[in-house]
Amino acid sequence: VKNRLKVLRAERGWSQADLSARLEVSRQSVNAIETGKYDPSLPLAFKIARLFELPIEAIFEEG
Amino acid sequence: MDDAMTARRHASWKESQMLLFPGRTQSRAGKRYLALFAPMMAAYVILVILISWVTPIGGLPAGPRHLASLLPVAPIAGVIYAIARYLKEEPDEVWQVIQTRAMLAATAIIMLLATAWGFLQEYNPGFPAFPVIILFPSWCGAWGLAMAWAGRKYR
Repeated sequence: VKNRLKVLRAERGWSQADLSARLEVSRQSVNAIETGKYDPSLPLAFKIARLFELPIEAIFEEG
Repeated sequence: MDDAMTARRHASWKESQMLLFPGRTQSRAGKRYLALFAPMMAAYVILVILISWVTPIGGLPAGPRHLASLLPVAPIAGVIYAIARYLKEEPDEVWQVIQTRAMLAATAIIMLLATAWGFLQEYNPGFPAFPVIILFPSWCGAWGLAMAWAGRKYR
């Protein structure tokens, strides 16, 4: 699954550590999701979508 | 700004703790793990000392001796429960994946080594018998090493 997390995060001026604190996950998790090494669970994907106030499909896409 | 800084400090602190030792996270799961792991390990050491040197059980009749020699197994069961509960409760998904992979890798390594030792023992007279009581501590050691291996991808 591809995602726009890095871009969205940069748009808000957040570091990986900032995002990890907001999502209550480790910075490793944020990095792994951003680089496509790990696909988040559905609950975490919803949490990410809520945080950025976007639908899941606007952040994650198949591929 | 203050919020962001606090968050950053919080996250990096949490991460450094996690890399050191899985139980030392700020998460409730990590605290609960350590709260059970530490007393269980202490009980294990005390029971081993007790049945080996304080009140040696070698002179007891067979039945009570069997029971007494099983005493240190109870805290080990507690440790295994603490590990299983931690794995279930750990809130960080990637960390849960790393831990699961590390545990499977440790299991594979220890199984392979124990099987190799078993065959050496079976077909080579005089080959020392495998000290089975070191099996679990060996697995824990292998788990620790495997954690570094399993985590390398996500650094």
